[in-house]
Formats: sequence, C-alpha cells, structure tokens
Amino acid sequence: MPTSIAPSPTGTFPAVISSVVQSAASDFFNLASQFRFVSQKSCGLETECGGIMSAISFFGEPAWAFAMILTEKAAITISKAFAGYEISFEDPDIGDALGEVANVLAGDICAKLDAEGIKSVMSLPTVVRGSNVSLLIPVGIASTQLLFMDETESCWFTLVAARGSSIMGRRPGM
Amino acid sequence: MSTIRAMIIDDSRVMRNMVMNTLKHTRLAAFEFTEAEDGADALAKFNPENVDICFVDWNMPNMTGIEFVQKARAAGNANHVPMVMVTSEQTVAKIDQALTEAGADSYICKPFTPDIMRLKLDRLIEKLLLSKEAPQKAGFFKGLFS
Repeated sequence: MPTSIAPSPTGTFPAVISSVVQSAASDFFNLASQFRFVSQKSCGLETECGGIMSAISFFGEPAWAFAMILTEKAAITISKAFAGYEISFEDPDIGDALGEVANVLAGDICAKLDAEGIKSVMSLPTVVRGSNVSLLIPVGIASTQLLFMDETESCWFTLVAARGSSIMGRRPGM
Repeated sequence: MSTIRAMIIDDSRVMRNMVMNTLKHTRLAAFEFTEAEDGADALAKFNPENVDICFVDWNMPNMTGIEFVQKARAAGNANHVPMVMVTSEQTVAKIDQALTEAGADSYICKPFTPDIMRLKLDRLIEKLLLSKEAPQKAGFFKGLFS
C-alpha cells in the first residue's frame, strides 16, 4: 500500500496532541511488541506494500484524527500481540483486532489529553485493508506523522487536524 | 460449582473472544456465554432471569454500552444483575458516568490480563456464586425437614 500523503503547506499540528499520541503508542507497544518510536516528521511517508489503516477521530476542541498505518507484517505482529493468537492478513478478524488496537490507543489518548485539559470524544474505528491505498490530506490542513519501527517493520501514525466541523468517523451509538 | 451465565456485549468479535477466554483463565467460576454485537442487540437478547452478569463495552454502533446499562436498569427488573464495563474509556469523568449515573457495578479498562480481571471480579463473582447456591441449600434443608 503506497501511502502517499500530500504535505501540509501551512499550519502546525498541535504539539501537545502529537506528544500524547507518541506516549500512548509507546506505552501500548512496550506491553507486547518490539515497536519503538523513531521519528516525527511532516506527512510524506510512502511505502510500496499491502497494509492496514485503522483510523479514529476525536470530536472536541480541537477536532482531529489519527490513522494508524501498518505494513502487512506489522499488522500480523501487532494483531497477534493484542489478540494472543496469529490472525492471517486475509482474515476479516485482523481488521477487527486492529480496530480494537486503535480503540485502546484512543482511550489512553483521551485520558492523557484530559490530563492536559483537552476534552475529547472518540469515534468508532474505521479500518481499511488493501494495496495502493492513499490517505489524502487537503491542502492547508495541519498534519504530522509519527514513525515507529521494530527490527524490520514499520507503523505510522498520521495525525490530521479537522477543518471546521468536518471530520470522519462514526460517533458511538449511531 | 455453579455456572455463571455471562452476557458479553462488544461490537468486536475478537474482543468478545478475548473477554471470554480471559474470564475462563481467571478460574473464578465456570462460565456460560451469550454474545451481543451492540447495545441494541444486547437489549433484545437480555433477560434478567437468564443472565447472571453482563460485560459491556462502551463505544459501539446503534446503542452504546452506557445506554444499554441505563435502559436495562430503568426496566426495574435487572438491578440484581451486575453490569461490568469493559472499555478503553478511562477518564475519571467517564468512569464516574458509568458507575454513578448509569448504574454499572464495576469497570475494567482495556487492555486487561487475567490477573486484572481476577482482582476486579473476585468479590463480585463470589457473591454471585453464593447467591446461586443459597436457594439450592434452602431447598435441601427444606427437603430434610418436610
């Protein structure tokens, strides 16, 4: 899945949010995987492989969203660490498991943001599996990327600010 | 040992399996499971005469877990059924909302381990087992003296 994301020409993604996401992801990965934080950079990471993207939006002030993007092998590794058994990449349950991983991360993110005085309500996860899938970010939207890696595989968190009230993600209960 | 009839309410099948497997690993009781995919599905299936305890996710489509707990409690005939939230929501406000406003009895944050589950559920399950065994013992003694 080549992940081609247009870089944002203006606006800076809030540092407090990217810091919280990095902390939440590090806490989660430290529990049962070898993925560790490598770097933060402007959007523009690309890969050429199949993968899974799991996204959650946060309703609040500010409104924003993250997409956790995993290579195929990373998806298998992380879903196995979470579920306790190996799930093949073609199995629909892998999307289910990684949606739950995103959900768990989002819960920790909301709690950490709450401690910073930022109130957020998370959406239900949206999961996409495939190849040649691109996450397109409109011009002028603040965004950033956090890269995590283990020995061989990569996992990105793309963080995107919402423009006005437009935001993806299904609200719980709807 | 009596069997605890547990309803597992989560929109994720993987998570429902994790809850069921972890409950079995706690060895607190023998469990019999019913599953529901969201709050609406749970409400349609829920019968307080046939369910001893509910494990409820919060964020689900169609009806949230909190709404399910509120509606189940509002019916008036399910106050004896413990409702345990199993959720990634972990802010103080959310925990308070669940335990104080909605009427949930306990709260387990995801991710969880068998040890965490055992710690959170030990007394709850013990009380449930005692309450299930008490009518059986009363019947036994009644039979002795009748």
